[in-house]
Amino acid sequence: MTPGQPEQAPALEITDLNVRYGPVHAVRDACLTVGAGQVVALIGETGSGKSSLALAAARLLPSSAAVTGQVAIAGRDVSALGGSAFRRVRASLLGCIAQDAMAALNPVVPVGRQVGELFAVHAGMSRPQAAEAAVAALAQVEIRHPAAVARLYPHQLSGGMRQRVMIAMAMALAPPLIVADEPTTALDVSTQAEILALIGELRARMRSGFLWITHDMGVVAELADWAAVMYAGRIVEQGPVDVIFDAPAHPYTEGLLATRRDLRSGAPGAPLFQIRGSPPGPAELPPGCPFAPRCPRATATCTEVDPPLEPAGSTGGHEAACHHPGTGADQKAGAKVAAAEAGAAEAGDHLGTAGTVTL
Amino acid sequence: MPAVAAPGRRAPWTRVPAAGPGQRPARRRWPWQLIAGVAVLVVFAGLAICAPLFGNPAQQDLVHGLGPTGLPVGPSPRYPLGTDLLGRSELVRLVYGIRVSLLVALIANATSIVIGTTVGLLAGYFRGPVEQLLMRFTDIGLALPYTLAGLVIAAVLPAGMTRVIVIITVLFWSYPARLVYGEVLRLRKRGFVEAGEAMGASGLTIVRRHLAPHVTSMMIAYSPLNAASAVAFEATLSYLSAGINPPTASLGNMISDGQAAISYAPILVIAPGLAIMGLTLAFLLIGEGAKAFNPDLRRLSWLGR
Amino acid sequence: MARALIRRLLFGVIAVAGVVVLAFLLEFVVPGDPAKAIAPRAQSPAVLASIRAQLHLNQPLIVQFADYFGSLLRGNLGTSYIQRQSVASLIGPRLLTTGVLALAGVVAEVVIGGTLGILATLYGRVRALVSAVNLTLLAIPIFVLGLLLLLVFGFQLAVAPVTGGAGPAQLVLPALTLGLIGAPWYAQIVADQMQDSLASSYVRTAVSKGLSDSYILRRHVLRNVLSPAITMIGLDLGSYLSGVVTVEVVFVWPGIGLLAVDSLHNLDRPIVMGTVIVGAIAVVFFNLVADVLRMFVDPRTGEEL
Repeated sequence: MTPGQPEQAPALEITDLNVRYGPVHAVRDACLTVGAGQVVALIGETGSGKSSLALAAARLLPSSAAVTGQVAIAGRDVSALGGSAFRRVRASLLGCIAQDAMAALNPVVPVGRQVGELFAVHAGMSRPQAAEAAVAALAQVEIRHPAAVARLYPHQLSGGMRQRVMIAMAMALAPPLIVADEPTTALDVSTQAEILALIGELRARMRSGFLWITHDMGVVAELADWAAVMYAGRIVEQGPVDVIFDAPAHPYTEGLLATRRDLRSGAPGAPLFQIRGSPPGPAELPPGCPFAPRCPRATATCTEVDPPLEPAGSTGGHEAACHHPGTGADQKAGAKVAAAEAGAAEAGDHLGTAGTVTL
Repeated sequence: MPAVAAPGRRAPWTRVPAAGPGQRPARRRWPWQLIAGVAVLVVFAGLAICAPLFGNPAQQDLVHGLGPTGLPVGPSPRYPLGTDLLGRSELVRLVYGIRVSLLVALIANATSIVIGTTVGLLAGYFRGPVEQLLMRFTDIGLALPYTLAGLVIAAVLPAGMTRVIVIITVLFWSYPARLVYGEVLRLRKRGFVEAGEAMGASGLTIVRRHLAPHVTSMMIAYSPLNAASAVAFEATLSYLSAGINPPTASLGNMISDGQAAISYAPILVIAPGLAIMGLTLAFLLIGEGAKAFNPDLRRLSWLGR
Repeated sequence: MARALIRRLLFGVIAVAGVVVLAFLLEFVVPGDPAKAIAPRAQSPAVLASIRAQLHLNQPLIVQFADYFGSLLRGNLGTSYIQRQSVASLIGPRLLTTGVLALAGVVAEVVIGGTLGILATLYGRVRALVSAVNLTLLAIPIFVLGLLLLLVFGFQLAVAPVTGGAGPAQLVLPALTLGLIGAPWYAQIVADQMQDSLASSYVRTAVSKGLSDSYILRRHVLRNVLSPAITMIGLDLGSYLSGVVTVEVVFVWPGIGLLAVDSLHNLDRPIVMGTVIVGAIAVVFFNLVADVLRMFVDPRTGEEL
């Protein structure tokens, strides 16, 4: 059960999504929900499949990609819609914010026109009406002198302003879902802070759900209600943000947080924590759990059986794909759980299981 | 054990090395363009070499070569391509015209590339004022309209093959000069020149050992395209009476002579026209094929007008 | 932006001045006596001497050049040796005629080339065909193509006029010839730019905004294609001009090119020099126009001219 307004249909519901580029299986059996008005952060390294997942949900992948699974936006099953049918409803259902605003805007068209065409094409406005609506949209993203800016070209704007233009375009028709692909990665820290603040305000006002792709845990902490961690094409953990941060279950998430913790509070001169090794390429997935080669808790089971996504911990909705989920960094607690499990198995079944883990 | 060349960049004279004892070397597929182009070129060259066997191109046959009204004769057993307006055998003139085109392509190609390469090397190696001066000239050369400039030069030289070769050389050297100059700059960036100088090598050695191989391979790949342009330009000049004039047969002047008879004897225009096209195509195809060996040339611009 | 334009203008003026000097010098490299050219039948040396005195041919070079340059600046391009008219009066009326042909040719090559490029990008099956067409067009010298078109459409099919003249009917074939010769270049540029655009991030953004494919092509992609096409027109001017000259000769289109070639054959040097100078001015002027146009189409180029 995900938090959010329970009366409204969830902004996004992804079921059993698989994305293949030829022989490469980039996203495997992903299930994710973004509640109405909720911000879900999709966390992962480069190559984890997070962009593929989001782009697949937004139907922005090239035709060479094979996508299966179901995608529902605001309750409507869009995976069943044909190309042109989806195109017609697209702008009112789904807004997209790209990562590199300079490349994502047409260099030879003034930005006002690029925002305005959404109104002209989808809201049936005339050219002057659309132009006014565009100026209003620019004002909403806190661009000062929006009428003057509307006449400028992308290369004449600063990075932050370009990003605001992208946000204005995405939110123009107040869609229930917005997919944002690392929109602040290319910005400097202070601009990033401004943009995040802006998003916070807009979100409060507009009640759109956000699927926010990022690899920056700081952004997640600041903005997201819910977080999903991806590794090697799978969602390996998801849950409410404070649970993920305080009591992560998956060792990969623990590693990510440990890295960040060291950056923040480690002793100067002390080596930073690193998860040793690197993620497998999509063509070199090992049997069993893909994180096993790097995992401090890996056992024989881990290298044989790929763990399914299962509830972990006590908070509703928190799931992890791990044979040995932790409850926070408390190893003793983990050992207790393992011992309890082993005990329960023994009690319930005299055969027991050979080779169970001991922490 | 020959060193394996860097991927994507092979000088054409190194063969793909064997992977090890007991293994056959990887077989490189010859591009079809190269084969087709060379085949056509060989045919044309054969015709050109055997030209004297066909007959005398200036010989007028006033008895059988012209019809009763004085108009040229059409294709017949004696004259397979008919005769031109002066009763000369079109076939014989065609073959001699091909010979002229090939000779011009060979010589003018060589001279323009040699001059261009020298200028490019000098400009790229010596930098400074030499470079500026040479590149200004090159820029002017590149901006000149070929035909017009050719006409003007033609006005001061006597008609003949020498004139054509001079015009082509003067107008064509700037492009290879620019290409070579760019290549030398790129090689400089990669440190070839600095390394050579650091080792105390003289300028000549550096040019010979380090710059020449790359530049040569680039020019070898470029020369078919240059030759194609030369063939086309010689034909244009001769057509405009600014190249080779009759009675010497050139494909271009055959067409200009034949234009007057185009309504009743189109073969006089078509035959030399096809010959020019065939020759140009052959060179273009070879050039396309050569690009497979040197991928840097993929964006080369080809013919001038 | 204005500063860059002024700089270009300055270069242009220098270029034209350079052409004037070269053209003038050429006069003195030419064998033959200008006095004899003017009055070929004059026998008495006194007459020839007086002609030479009239033309200041006995004065030192610098004086003659100053004289010539001076009259040039006053708009006097000299007098034809043969036709007893001022060069300017001979060139003037033909300016428009050539201009019309040149414009029609540019439109033709952009339209034909652009269409080929767009088709090749959008329809994979057509790509090989377009490549073959491009290769063929590159291999044909412009005058051969012109004559072939004349033969097919003028004589065989009788749908185009075969006599010279400057009417709209006569414009079709020469403009088509120019268009077909230039088409492969524009096809290549358009295809390249379209491919870049279609793969770009902003097209993906446009798709994400729910815009239709045809809208995206029309309103987003084509704008980005225009800029390199206009650049090409500008760069191309020199060799394009040569093409116009040749086409005028082939189709007897009464423009400046035909005048220049005829005068060359008649050794009427003042006209040749005049046309070359006018040609240089035209090239510089239209290059500037192309630059200005490009600034309107692609707002990024304003600063980096």
